[in-house]
Amino acid sequence: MMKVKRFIALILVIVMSVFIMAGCGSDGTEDTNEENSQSSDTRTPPPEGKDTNNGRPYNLEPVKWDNRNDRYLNGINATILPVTEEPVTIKYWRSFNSTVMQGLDECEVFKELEKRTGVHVEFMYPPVGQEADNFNLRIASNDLPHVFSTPPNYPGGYMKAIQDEVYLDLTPYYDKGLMPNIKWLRENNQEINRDMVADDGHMYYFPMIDIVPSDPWSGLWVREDWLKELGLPLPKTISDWDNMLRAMKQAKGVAPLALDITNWYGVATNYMFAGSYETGYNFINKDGKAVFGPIEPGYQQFLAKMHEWYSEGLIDPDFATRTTDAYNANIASGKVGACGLAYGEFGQIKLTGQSKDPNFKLTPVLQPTSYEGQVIHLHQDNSTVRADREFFTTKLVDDGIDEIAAQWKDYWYSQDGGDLCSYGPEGVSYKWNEKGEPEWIYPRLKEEKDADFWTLYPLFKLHNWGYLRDSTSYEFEPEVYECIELWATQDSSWLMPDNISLTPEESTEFNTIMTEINTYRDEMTLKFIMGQVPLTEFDDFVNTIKGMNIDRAIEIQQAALDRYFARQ
Amino acid sequence: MSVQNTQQLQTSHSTISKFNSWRNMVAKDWYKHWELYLMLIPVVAFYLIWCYGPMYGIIIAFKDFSPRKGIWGSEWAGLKYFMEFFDSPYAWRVIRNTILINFWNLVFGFPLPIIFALLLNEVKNQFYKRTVQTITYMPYFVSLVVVCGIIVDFAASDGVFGEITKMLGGTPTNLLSDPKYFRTIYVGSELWQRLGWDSIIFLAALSGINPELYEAATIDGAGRFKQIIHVTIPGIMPTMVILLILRIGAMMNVGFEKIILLYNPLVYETADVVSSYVYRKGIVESNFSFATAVGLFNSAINFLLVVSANWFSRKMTETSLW
Repeated sequence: MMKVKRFIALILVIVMSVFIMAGCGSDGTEDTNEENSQSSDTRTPPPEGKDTNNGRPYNLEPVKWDNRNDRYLNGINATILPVTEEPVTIKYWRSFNSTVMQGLDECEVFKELEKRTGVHVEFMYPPVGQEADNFNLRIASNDLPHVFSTPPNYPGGYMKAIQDEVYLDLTPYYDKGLMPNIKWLRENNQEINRDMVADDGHMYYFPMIDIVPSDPWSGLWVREDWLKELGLPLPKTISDWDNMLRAMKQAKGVAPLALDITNWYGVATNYMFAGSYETGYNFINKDGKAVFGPIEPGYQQFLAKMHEWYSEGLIDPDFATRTTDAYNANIASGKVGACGLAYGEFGQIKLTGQSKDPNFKLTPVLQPTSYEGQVIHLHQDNSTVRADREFFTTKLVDDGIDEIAAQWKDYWYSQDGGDLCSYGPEGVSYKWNEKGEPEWIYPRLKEEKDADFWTLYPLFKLHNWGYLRDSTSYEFEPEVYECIELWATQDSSWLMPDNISLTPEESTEFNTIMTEINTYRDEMTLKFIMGQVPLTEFDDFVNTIKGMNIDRAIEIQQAALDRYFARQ
Repeated sequence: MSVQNTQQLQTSHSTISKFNSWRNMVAKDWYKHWELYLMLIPVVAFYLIWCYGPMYGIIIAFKDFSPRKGIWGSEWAGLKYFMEFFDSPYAWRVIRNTILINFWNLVFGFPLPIIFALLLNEVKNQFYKRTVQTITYMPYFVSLVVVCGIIVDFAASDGVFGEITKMLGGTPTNLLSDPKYFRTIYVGSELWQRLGWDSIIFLAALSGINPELYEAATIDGAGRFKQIIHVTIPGIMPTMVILLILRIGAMMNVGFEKIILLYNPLVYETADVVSSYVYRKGIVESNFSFATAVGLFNSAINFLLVVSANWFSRKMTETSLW
């Protein structure tokens, strides 16, 4: 009897510990939505009359939208409201994670949108951290929402989802004239027209379109207060950087450069120093020719310079292991004289930095040139049509509300609809002040001292959804406006366009090849910089990548690029 | 009792038609103990529905899985995804790393909790014993993310180990950027976190040893050390063997969470394991077929290992899982 008891106790302990171990896995997905916006002191004056919709005439004679930097652009108001007399509910799938609200239906935008259009939105949230699982499960079990808002990648790409009849081809609705606002945008802006469609000319998604073209959000910064102390000018060339970093190291006794490779504030995103040697970490588009950056000769020069700086102790010795938080903390701690940074992080870093050192001042600088008279073609930049996309599903057809949904979604691309999404309802979240500028008045912004604009905005405005966005509709530090203005002065024409599209077959083949190559490139790049592998082996590095079938991957990118440029 | 009867009957009748006797017996047994069988139904159903049912999903390893078409509707791909894995230049590296990390984990992580439990068992002061126990469990309840954060900080060039190196006159380096140290760091931190926790099972087994055995040993003149060798260790041997077999059966598993929180491309050479490799591949494209194929390969190896370990143990120690 004793033995049996003991055995049972033992089994119980084993089973329990197994269950506990199984329950202890943690999920570390991170949301890395970058912010973007830009300055504008030249906004369209406020409309006359207080009611933005009914009192205002439809803008049937639109302003011509000539170039990217034209800040006076408006959408039109071609939607007849309400979109539906009968109550209609549209089910929206979107990941959601907030500490300030229970659900997205609390957002002022949707309350107002329902009043205007008659369409009710019901949200479906995937569990936090399991967005991809939930997405795939819904497709597998045919339990679709009406709209997938910024979903994970469909296996094989969105073209495959169209083939599989999960996503809906929007072209028929467009051709039927159900999207007059989008039609106007497409007809009046070549870039929008090209980027909103796939290579076959069909429209498959509702992207975020920036009414004010959104400019770079990631680039280089230096500590201006240190430079003043040392009597140095802002660095313009690589040799300026040599001098500056050495002087900083000598004066402050720190490794002054915070370097990052793969994050969105590092080389892979903002081309820091790689752009100076006319190459990048991924594919670039050298005047219409697809090129893989790491096998370019410039990449060797880039690595050589980084290795030189690293071995002189000018680069943060822990740069390879820093997480985003550790990287930011390092900059804020005052041990860093120069860094790459995305401006979404700037506010917090400035706050922390100044609390320790009142002189703390980061100033944006341009990508340095590596030789006399060089024109740099690479820095982080965005197209007008952003990569944040929303997809209609075939469930809209099954439920017979596809046409209403198309008209309703088109409203998000009208002037009023776009304003509503960007700013929230007038009088609730913002008002026009005497200078003719929008001013945030949402009560909780004042009431809650420890929550800033970036925490509270989901209560009253939208960010990365499919709509006509005014990318100035945010609150920023003055330095952020400064960096946008500055970085945008450099050319970015060698960037791969955001909106090229691969066929399902190409996409699968490309990803298979590139997973291996990216692993190798990530590993070797760090080893070259840290000197674990000598740069004399750079040719072997290139040959190995060629042996991993990079030529086929380049071919696929080239074909996609050619098709993209061939769009009418 | 009925189970034992069944076995005895089965063996004694094995000369006559096995099938008939077996059927008769089940019928007889069913008639006699139908309530027990009734009670068994939920358990069997549980395993069928939740454990065996989902297993048919592994066929997507042999298909080009498309969520819309479902498991049956997707097209057959044969061994394509297995080939894709083995054709990868990194396949052997990640398999090797997985096995090595587990091997070192086993070498240190298996005997140390036993030794710890034995030591703790000899402590007679209950208060002291409980305090030590509680303190050693504690790291187990610290979230992995926090543990890895601590490790990264400690290993940094200006972290604890860097400072010690500096004090001893060396040049501090970042330990996590050198492939040489990764396994040590991984296994060491694993040990720190799990030593106390893993010893619980052995302490439970130790408390089950009949005190009379110790008395007898004392009378026979055995000192404490002899008691450990001749009473305690044989007493917990079955537990040790079973846990060892289970661990060997998990030789191909390394959770990707800890790896991903600790590694960086510089240490891929020793740190990249099967699960982290599949995870990276999965970020690019939700490729279920590939992940399933690799998972199936892993499970097959694990299965093979557990069966052979079990067989070996039955031969050697007469203790086994089945």
